[in-house]
Amino acid sequence: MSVFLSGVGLFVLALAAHVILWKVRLPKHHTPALLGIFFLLLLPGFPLAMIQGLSLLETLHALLLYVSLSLCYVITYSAIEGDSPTLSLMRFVAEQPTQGRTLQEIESFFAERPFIRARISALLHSSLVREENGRYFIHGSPSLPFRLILGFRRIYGEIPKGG
Amino acid sequence: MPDLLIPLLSVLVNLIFQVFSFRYWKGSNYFLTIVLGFGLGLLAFVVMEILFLWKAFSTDHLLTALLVNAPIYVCLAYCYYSFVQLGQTSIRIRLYAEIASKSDGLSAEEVAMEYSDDSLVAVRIHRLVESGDLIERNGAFFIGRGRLPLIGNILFFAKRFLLGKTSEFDQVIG
Repeated sequence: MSVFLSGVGLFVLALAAHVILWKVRLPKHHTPALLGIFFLLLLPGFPLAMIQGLSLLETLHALLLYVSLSLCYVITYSAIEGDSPTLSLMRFVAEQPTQGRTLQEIESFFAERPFIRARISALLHSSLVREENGRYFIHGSPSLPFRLILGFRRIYGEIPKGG
Repeated sequence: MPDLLIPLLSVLVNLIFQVFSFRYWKGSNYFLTIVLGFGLGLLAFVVMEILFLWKAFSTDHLLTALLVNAPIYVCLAYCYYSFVQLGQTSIRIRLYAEIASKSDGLSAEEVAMEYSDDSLVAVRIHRLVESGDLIERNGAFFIGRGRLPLIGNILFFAKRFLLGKTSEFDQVIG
């Protein structure tokens, strides 16, 4: 039970710190800031758990719970930060449960939401891509998370265009 | 074996079966492979927990299995699903991959040709109709299953609470 309380307690603390910081001032880069908060709280978490009387194995167990919950939240947060085209579409259709939505209505809805342009801007903003003479290039070498995702993607082969 | 390894091994089972079933079906039945991977990982989790409790039963171990290991498995399986999903549907990843594959870069026109907003809509509608989340009837689309609008609503309220806006396109829409 102490493993559960330590892991969840630390996660709730990190979540509270995140909400307070976000209410005071929104960071420029959300995901790195969020990862920073969760990582910073991991550092005192280790000695604190040991002081509480948890063994090394129990401490690791509590931290594994904390890391799992944190990763889960960070992944979900990316859908809070940027709109998901699929979920936006579903909410739009759900607004008219009896009449439904025609393809024209859906297309006008998406015309107001330039997802592709927004994602290009996000890549430029995060310095992953640079623009030179009207062309987009990779900035430096791909980061480790990108290499992992792209490497894993090869297993899946061709995917239909359009995201 | 320490019980903290149980959720980690279960996620490994999830990953292995998801990848193998995906390759076996040659890329079709994507969602089924996700469900199958998760289900078999969960089965492995339950079997390992029963064996662990069989050997050394205590209320503390039972609580750890239910309150600590089960959430760890679900969270890590969700992380794995999101990781796989990123490679499948994330526009950002796909654009990045496309740009990375071209040594002379990609022009805005080429991006528009490959990833137009029209194809974005078409692919999503096709995928949602196929999964039963959307239903097409008399030239209009209706909600088939309520799970995605529910998730959308939760994220909508979280966005309003945390970021003070309802959409990343608030300024565009006006």
